Amino acid sequence: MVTATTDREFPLLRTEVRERPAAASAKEIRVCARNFSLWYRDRQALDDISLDIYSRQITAIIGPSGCGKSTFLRSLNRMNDLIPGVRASGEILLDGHNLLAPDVDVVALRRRVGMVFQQPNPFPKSIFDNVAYGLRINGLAANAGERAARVEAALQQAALWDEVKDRLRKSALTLSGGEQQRLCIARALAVQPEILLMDEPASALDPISTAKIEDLIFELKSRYTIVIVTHNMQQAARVSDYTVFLLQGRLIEWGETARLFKTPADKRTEDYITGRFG
Amino acid sequence: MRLALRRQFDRSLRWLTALAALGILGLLAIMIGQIAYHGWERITWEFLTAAPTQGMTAGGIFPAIFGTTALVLIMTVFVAPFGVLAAVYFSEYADRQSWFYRVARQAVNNLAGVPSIVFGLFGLGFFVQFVGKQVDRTLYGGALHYGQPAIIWAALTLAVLTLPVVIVSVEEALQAVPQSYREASYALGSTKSQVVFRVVLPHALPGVLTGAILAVSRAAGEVAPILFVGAAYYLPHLPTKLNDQFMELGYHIFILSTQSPDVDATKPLLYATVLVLLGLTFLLNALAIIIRARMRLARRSV
Repeated sequence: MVTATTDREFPLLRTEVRERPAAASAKEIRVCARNFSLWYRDRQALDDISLDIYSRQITAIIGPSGCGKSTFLRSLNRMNDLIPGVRASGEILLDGHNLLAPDVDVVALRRRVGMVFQQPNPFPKSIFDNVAYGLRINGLAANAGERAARVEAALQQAALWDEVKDRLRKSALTLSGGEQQRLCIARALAVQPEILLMDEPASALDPISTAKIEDLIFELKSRYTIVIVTHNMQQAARVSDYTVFLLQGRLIEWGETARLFKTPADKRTEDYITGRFG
Repeated sequence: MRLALRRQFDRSLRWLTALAALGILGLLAIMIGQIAYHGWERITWEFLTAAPTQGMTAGGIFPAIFGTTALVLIMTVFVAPFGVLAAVYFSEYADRQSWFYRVARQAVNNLAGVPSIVFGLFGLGFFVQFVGKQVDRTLYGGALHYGQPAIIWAALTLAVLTLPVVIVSVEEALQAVPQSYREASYALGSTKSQVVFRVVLPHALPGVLTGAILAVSRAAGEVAPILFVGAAYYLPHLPTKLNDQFMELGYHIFILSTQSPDVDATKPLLYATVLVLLGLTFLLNALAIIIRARMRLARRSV
C-alpha cells in the first residue's frame, strides 16, 4: 500500500534508487548529533535530535516549513551563533569532537564545513574574485598562479568552468540565477571543505537549473559529505542516500532514503511524504 | 445637506493642504530669488579671491571661504573615523536588545537635539579651556599656544555637533548591506573583522561618503558653535597652523549684517556672501543625493 503510493507520487524514486551502488558495509560516521536541542531566546526550535551523518553520503533533511531543518543545518557550522539569544544543549560531534564546545574555533570549523544558501548570494565582485574570496580571507594559495589554479578547479568541480572561463573578470551578478548558485557552490568548494551544507539550494531556481544543481550534488558526493535541506521530497528522494524527517523541531524518523520513502516507520512520515500535510 | 457639506469639506481640505505645500515652494523661491537677485552681480572673480577691505565695505571674502573649507576638512578628519567606528559598533556588534545599545543609541539622538550654541559653550569649556590648557602645560611649559580659540578647537566642536549626522547615515548604509553577504563571508571562514572590512564597509562606502558630505554641509552653515572657539572678526593672514584663528563664511555674514560701519555699502556684499554659502551647501547636498541615488541604482541592478 505504502509502496504503491510512493511509486505513484514519486515516479523517479525507484529508478534513482536502483542506480545507486549497494550500501557499502563500512560506512564511516562523520557527524553525529546527540540529544541536540536549540532555543531562540524562549522558543525551542529543536528538541532532542540524535542522528548520524555518514561520510561521502548525501543526507537530506525534509519537513514542513518551520520544522527546524534549516536551524539544524546551520548548527553544523555554528551559523546560528550569529543570531543573538540562541542557546543549545546536547552535542554535535564532528569526527568525535563536540563542535558546540565553547573552545571550538568557529572560523576554522566553518572552513571545514562549507555552506550554500537558499538564495544565490554571490558578492558584487567579479566571478574570479567571488571564488577567490575564501582563499584570500583564509590566506590560502598566496601566489597568483596557485590561486588561479584553485579557482579553476573549484569552477570545474561546480560544472561552471566552461560557461564562465572567458569572462572571469565580469561581475558575478551578470550570471543567471542557476549559474550564480553554482558559483556559490564553487566559492564554497574553493577552500576545500570536508562537509558541504546546502540550505534548499535549488528552491529559488527554475527546473532546468535545479536539475543541473542536483546532478552536481550527485557528482560532489564522491569527495564531500553533503547535507541538504529541502522542502521538495522528490528532490530528497532523487539525490539523497539518507533522509531525516523533522516535524515541529522533533526528529520523527531518519534512515536510508529508499527505505524511508518506501516503508516509513512512522505514520507522520508517511502522511508527509504522501502529501497529506505540509 | 450633510452630504454636500462633507463634500465641500473634502474639497477644501485638498486645497488647504495643497496651499501649505505651495507655501513651502514659495518661501524657498522668495528666499533664494531675493538673495540671488541682489547678490549675483557682486560675485566676481575678485570677490571670491580677495580679502575684505575698507572695514568690510569692499573687497572679497576669500579668507572666509578658505577658513570654512579648512575648518570642515579638519572636522571631517575627526568626525568621519569616529562616526564610522560608532556606526559599525551599532550596526555590527551591539546586541539590539541590550541596555547599553539603547542608552548609547538614545545618546546619539539626544546629541542631535542639543542646540548648537550649547556646543559652542561646550567647545570653549572643554576643548579650549581644558584640553588646550593641558596641551600647553604638558608640551609648552604653560606658554599660551593651544589654550585659546583656534581652528582645531572649532573643528573638534563641529565634529561633536555633526557626529550624530554621520552615525545615523553610516549606520543606515551598513544596515542596507544584505545580510546574505555577511553570511556568505562567515560561511567561508571569515573572522568578524574580515566581514566588517572586506564585505560590509566596502559595500557601504557610498553611504559613508554620503554621511561625511551631509556632515560637511551641516557644519559649513553653522555659526553659533564656533563663535567662542576660534572664528575671528577679521584676520590679515590666512590660518596656517592648527592653533590659528580663522574667518568663516557664516560668521562673516553675521559680522557683515551687524557690525558694519556703512550698511548701504555692505548690503550687496552681504547678499553675495550669503549666495556663496547657500551655493556651497546646496552643492554638497546635491553631491550627497547623487551618490545616494547612484548607490540605490547600483543595488537595484543587482
